[in-house]
Amino acid sequence: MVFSSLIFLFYFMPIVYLLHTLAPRKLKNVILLLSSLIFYSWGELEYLPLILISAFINYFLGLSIERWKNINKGKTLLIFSICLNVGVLFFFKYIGFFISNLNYLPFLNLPKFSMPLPLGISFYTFQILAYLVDIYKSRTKAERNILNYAVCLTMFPHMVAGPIVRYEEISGELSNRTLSLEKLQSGLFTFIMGLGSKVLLGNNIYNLWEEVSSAGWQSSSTPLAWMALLAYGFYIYFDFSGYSLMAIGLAKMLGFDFPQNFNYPYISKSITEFWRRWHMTLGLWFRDYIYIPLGGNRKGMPRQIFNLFVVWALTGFWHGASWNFVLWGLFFFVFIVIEKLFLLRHLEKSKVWSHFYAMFLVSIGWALFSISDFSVLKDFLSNLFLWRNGTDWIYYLRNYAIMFGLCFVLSTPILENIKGKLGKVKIPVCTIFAGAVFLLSVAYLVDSTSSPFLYFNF
Amino acid sequence: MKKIVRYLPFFLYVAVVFFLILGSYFAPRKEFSEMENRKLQTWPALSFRDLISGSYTTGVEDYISDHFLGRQDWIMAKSISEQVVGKDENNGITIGADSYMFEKNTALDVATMERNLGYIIEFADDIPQENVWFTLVPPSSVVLSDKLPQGFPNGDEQAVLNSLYQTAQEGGLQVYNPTTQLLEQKEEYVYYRTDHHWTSTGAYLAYSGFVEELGLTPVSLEEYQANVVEDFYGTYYSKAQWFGTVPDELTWYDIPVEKIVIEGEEYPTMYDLEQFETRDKYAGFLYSNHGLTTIYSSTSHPNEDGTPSRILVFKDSYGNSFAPFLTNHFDEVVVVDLRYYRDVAGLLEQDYNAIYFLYSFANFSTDSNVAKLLLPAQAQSQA
Repeated sequence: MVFSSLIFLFYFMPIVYLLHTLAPRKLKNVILLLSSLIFYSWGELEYLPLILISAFINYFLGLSIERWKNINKGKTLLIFSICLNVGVLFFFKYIGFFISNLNYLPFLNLPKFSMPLPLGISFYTFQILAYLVDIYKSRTKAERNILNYAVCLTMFPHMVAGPIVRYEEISGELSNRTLSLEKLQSGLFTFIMGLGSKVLLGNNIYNLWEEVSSAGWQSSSTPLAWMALLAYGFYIYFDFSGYSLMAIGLAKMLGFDFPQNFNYPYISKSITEFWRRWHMTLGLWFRDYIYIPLGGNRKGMPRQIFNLFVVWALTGFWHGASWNFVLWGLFFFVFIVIEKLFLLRHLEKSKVWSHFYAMFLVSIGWALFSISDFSVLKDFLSNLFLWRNGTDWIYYLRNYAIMFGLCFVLSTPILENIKGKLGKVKIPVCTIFAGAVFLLSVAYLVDSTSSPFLYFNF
Repeated sequence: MKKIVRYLPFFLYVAVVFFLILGSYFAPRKEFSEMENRKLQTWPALSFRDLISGSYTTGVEDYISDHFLGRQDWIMAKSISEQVVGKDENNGITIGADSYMFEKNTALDVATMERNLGYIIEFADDIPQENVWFTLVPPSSVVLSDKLPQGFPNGDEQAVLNSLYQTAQEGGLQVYNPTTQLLEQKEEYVYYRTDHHWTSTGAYLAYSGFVEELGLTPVSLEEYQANVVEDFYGTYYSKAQWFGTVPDELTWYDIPVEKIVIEGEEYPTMYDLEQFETRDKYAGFLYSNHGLTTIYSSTSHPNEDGTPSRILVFKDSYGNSFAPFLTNHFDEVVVVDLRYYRDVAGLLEQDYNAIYFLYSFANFSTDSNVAKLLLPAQAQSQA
């Protein structure tokens, strides 16, 4: 199930929240678990066993690691658990990639093999790894109640696409959380802002990218190619940040405080800053579980550069089982090192140029990210950097000028700033605004299911 | 009290959501959507297999959206919203000058068109018949190009059209290209504004050009009574639902026939008058699309040897408003839609004065049925 659907908005949400809010404390987690399993397996029943088994096994692993953390057994068990969980992720997500790359070796000709990707596996694997490592390092206690652990892993707000919430961040709320009208209302507001981001902005500007990219990159003009690239950048931002906002809002309405995942990344003035504002929970995960354990910046510059290399290659690779994602990660690695070495000081001095520098690089990054096929990627990059004439961009500019304007403006904190200045009229204004966003989103969702049967076109 | 005011937004939301849920539940069920021209989803039967495959959950979601309270109004609201943010297109339909709608097609499948033409050429080669004609009707975006918004992204459709005509000629087909006639009269309402078909005027212009190529004299429209059906909102409209659309007028000519036989059943006239009362009015021509339709003319045009004159027309829906005019020159007009028919070999057991392939541009690039022409007789008879 997806958040931005009629069934979620008008059936799942009302029923689940009604039950959860009214249920006695002891039943809340049961309701949350059952509804999350329904949400997860809706339309994709085959992935359910894997995550249930995962929850079960890792619950016991967590307890065992806690019991033995001060002796050798504990360390062995931790390493085993890490290998197990990473192995599962590797098997489902990366085996196809691995095999097709092995086949480049002249003496190998393995049969093509790949597995379907279980929903959310990249996210919940990272949550599990953080949990087990934190237990070993005594940063958190293991969860004794299997129901609570299962809820932590599978709860529908963050299950499918994050934020990557660590057990220790919500351990208290798992066993004892309070609900209030305040939380319900503010959570709802956040949720609606996320819904609008995804449905009204992300989905809308995506159409530009989709149309232009599906025609290939061999006939579109250069201005149009750049418009398409910008469209992609806005699409992925509003889609992803919208989804995260929905998750945070839904969690709040359940009484959970989720961490922020996006902090206006497109106002960044350096790549370093960008990655502190984009997909924050992922960056923090890599910092805490890869970068710092490798030594971070405490072992001299050469080692720091190596550590960064590993982190960024893995960050890229996490996003997809394809070389272009690794390239994307390493692309940022290069500029982060350059910035760390000397550029950051200069960037901080300017306001406009550094912003332009950062957004230009981020956009190029999106080109690498958006296309996995290298020959198509080559076509796209040529389209961008080798001038090709055409009038096609006029049509798209006319149609998307206002959308681009809205995207530019709304990727800044302007709405938050306005809200802060509203004073007494804050509640009515926010209500009208959120109401309009909600109703308009519903309209767009209903329209997306409209499929006129053009009898004569078949 | 203060609490209610402070949390009024939340309560409002709850009220709206429950209103929509209950409203959708208690609203009377419709079975067919005229606007979308399809049956609406019924509640799916629960079965383990359907649950695993995901078709049960898809069915449930489709049911919820198909019967959502005020569905058409929500769709219209989105269309208005798109206009407000400055778009001149919605759901793949672009609005041009004078309220004319055009279908966007940025990824035209030229390969399929060439392949389909190849099947026709091969078919014409295989049969002894000499008089095989081919017409590919230009899309409105070519004829009415002055009404297109600037930069309309459909690529060079005229070039594709010309190249296909050239291939057809080189392949031995006789071609008739109506583009010139349509261009000359383009201000005379030759395509519908809100539908992907040509108007009866457009069909008539093509008809006159075609029969002149055959050496015949086209009948004059004044011989017939023109009947005008108003408020035609066509297929482009049902996709775009553009607020403020000026509807079309559909004109049909009262051409008398002896009888018309559609898949074995007899009808007295060529027009399904009841259909003209619904939204999808174009389907009133020849009772919409059927595999085999034979029109028996009320006038007599025997061949020199006394046998009835006959023309075989392979067509898509554009042919439906065109074929009626042919009854002025042939005793029998045999109309075949390959989407619903395969016994081509059986058809060829009769003699024809001419065989005519009449297809529209957009449809020709998606049609996968032209290949049926080449099915061996055995497979065809297993229709």
